[in-house]
Amino acid sequence: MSLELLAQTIINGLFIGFLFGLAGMGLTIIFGVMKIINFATGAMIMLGAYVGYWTYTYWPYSAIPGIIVSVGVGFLFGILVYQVLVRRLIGKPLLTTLLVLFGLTSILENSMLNLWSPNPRSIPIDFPTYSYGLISISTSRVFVSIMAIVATILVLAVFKYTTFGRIIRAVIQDKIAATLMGVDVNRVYTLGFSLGVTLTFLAGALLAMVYPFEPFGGLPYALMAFVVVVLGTLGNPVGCLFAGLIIGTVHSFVGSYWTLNMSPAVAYLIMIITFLLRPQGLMGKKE
Amino acid sequence: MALLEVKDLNTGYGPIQALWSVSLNVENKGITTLLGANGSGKSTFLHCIVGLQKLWSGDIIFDNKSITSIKANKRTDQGISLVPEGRRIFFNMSVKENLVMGAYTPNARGKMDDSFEQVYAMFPVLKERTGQRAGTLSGGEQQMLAIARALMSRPKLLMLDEVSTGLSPVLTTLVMDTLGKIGETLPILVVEQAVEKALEISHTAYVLENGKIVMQGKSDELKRDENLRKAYMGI
Ligand SMILES: Nc1ncnc2c1ncn2[C@@H]1O[C@H](COP(=O)(O)OP(=O)(O)OP(=O)(O)O)[C@@H](O)[C@H]1O
Ligand SMILES: [Mg+2]
Repeated sequence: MSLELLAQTIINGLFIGFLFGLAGMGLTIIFGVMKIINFATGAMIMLGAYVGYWTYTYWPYSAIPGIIVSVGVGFLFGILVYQVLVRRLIGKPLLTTLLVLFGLTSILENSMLNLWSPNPRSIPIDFPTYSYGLISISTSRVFVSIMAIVATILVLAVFKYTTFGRIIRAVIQDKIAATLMGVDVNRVYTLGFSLGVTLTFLAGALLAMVYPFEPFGGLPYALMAFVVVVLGTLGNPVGCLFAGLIIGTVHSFVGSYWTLNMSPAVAYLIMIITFLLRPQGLMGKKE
Repeated sequence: MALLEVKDLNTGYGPIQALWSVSLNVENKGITTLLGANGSGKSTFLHCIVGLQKLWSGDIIFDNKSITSIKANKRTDQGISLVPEGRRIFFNMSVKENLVMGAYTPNARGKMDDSFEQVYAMFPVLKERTGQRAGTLSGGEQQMLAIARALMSRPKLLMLDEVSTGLSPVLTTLVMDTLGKIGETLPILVVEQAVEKALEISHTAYVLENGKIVMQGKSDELKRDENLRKAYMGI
């Protein structure tokens, strides 16, 4: 076992960890605000990837427009999905949510397949790769990580310091009290859901710069995002960030020293063990 | 002219009726109190006024205008503020953030600095603890925060649902005296278990029993009423 491989594994793990964290944060915000689990996360990550991809295809000078467009489209798509579907799922049994959002997944995935073929694609941005001895660092991954970190910090700052963030926290804590303060909880639901979908799209657009993707490729990422959410304690964005880094590193270690195929299995094993030992999540306090 | 006029209100949960033809007025001055045993429908009544509970029938007139069809969150901006049962402060927010949430409505936002001064003058302990997480306050401090938060919205009518629950007798007296003081300038509707004290600070009282108003009148008269004393003060 070489030191270089170890270092490379950790670096790769942290890179992807930020993306897992971002996708997890999208899920956890939605859950925190309206107690809905976004089972369509995988398809939405891929949709975000395609948005980034097509933006780059038509404007292949910089990676930034793809990010901006995916954020914008994600937000509008979130509002649409909320108004048409999710609004009606609030307070319904979990099974209803599960079926409806799996239905949405199927609609999205097959539409992507029909429109854009099953061929795997990736955003062909020409980022240089630097090598230090046997360790290589691709600047695309550095760029993607920085974007993910910036987005994470931005979301946390909005949560902590802005009126909008305070209102979201109020609704997460106590909807009735928030209503009594004069908050329009329905509007907060719309915006909270859209914010979650925006982060999901962004995770997809960033992923597409470092990994190939295809219409049905979202599931592994969604599964990881679910693990991240559970480890990071439901409804807690900061916890998501740390859990993302942990799961990213685990993912990378399993890939380097065993086989990448087993990475989700190991991630889920960790989740199950966490459930059994600390039902409140890794970061959560005991009730 | 009454500030709040509730006419012939009926409501319930599913098929079960909880309030039967309840009519109640809150005058433009002083404190009105609503008494009643556990489960008699006091909270349900307050929820109707703030819009958290739908009416089956009846009308709620506030400030000369029917508010029956106005959404709950809009009623706050109309000038109705409720300190809900169980306080419902935002535990994970600081004292200050809780108060800022209280001043959320457009009407209140512009007067926030002035409101802060007022509530800090009224509850100096909140000023000392402005940065503290609300969940770590003592029970009495939490209750003061809940009242202060409700005042931040600059209400025309303040309503309080069992604010003395869980407080020591000393704190109960303190909170009730504070209410008495607030009531000198702001009309208040209190729902209370501390019957004796509530009748002392209020001018008018209603008694709810199994969802029906069974008694109403001047507080000092009700205070002397044999039946009421037997039922609620154990005397
Ligand atoms: N959400 C609900 N669903 C069904 N029934 C309810 C609900 N809330 C209250 N009730 C019923 O309505 C009646 C009135 O309840 P309410 O909470 O208004 O009483 P209360 O006078 O506030 O009692 P307390 O002094 O214990 O707070 C009770 O019989 C109660 O069981
Ligand atoms: Mg009650």
